[in-house]
Amino acid sequence: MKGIIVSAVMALVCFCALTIGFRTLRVRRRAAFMVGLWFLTVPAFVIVHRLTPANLGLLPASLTEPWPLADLLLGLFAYAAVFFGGILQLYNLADRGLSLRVLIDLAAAGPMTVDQLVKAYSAGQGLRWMYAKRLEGLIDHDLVRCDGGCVTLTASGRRTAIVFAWLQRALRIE
Amino acid sequence: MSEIGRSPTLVGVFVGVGWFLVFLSAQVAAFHVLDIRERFRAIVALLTATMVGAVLTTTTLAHIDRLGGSVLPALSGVVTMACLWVLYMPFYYVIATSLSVRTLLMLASVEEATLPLEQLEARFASAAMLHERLATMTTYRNVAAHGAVFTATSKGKATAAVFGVLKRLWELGPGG
Repeated sequence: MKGIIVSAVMALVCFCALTIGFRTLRVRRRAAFMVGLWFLTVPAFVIVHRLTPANLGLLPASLTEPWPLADLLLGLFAYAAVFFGGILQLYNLADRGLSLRVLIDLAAAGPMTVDQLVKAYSAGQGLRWMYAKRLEGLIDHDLVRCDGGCVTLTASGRRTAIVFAWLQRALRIE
Repeated sequence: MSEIGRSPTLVGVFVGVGWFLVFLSAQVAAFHVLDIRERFRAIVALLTATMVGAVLTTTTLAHIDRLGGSVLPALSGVVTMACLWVLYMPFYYVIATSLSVRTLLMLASVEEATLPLEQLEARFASAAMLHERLATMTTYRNVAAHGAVFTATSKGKATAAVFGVLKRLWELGPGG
């Protein structure tokens, strides 16, 4: 249980450090910056876990793990989950989420038709801008290439498509 | 080995991993057998049911094998499952809704794996695509449709406000 409490505290520390970083530094690759900062905090997690008593001075015996390594491993796993499944996903949603952007546009500008939303998307940048951003990401990861107005899958794009097609069939996603 | 077997946390972790695999299998089976419209709700219901299974399993193990109480293994099991779920869901949404993934699949489905950019834009940067997305948002009551006009519901406005604060806090710009 101590590991879980330490992971919650460290997640809060990590969130504050990220916020300070975003507000004070000119970060270009934000996701990479976030992951880098998280890795830097992992040794701090281990040190805090090692230096604090097994019951943190407040936990009852029923919530105290007799084998500290097991508690540390679960704490680190919880910390990784809170970061990669929580904080990093919050960033992805806030910076790239299509549905969220539509919601923010509707909440800010009031009722709109679909055609109005297509043009107003992301403070007037439009849906084509959004799709160009997605294609840029695919090109950066060498999954597609764009030549003369045509988009083509690369070899690694084909392999990735096969995996995702299988996953979609497994989850019956049309 | 005996130390591992006597660790309430590790027992809970192993039980949690086991029940998470049951959750994944049940999800795949349910999606194949049933026609589920609100899939997120179904996923949450399945997760809750399997978490109850994990708690019952750790409680039983604690009674038959002295683990020093049932609270810590149960808690460890539930936390393990919650962590695995938190890591799994973004992956699920990439498989289910990502436009990048859909682009790769569309390209893979055609000869020579090549399409004109306009054709891709017509599919993925169009009113039709947005209509599909708005239909999902309407199902989850984030958006309400009044004829051809869409509005954010109070639930949708609350979500937009929370993320608006986060965007300002992290100085992210419009994004999307």
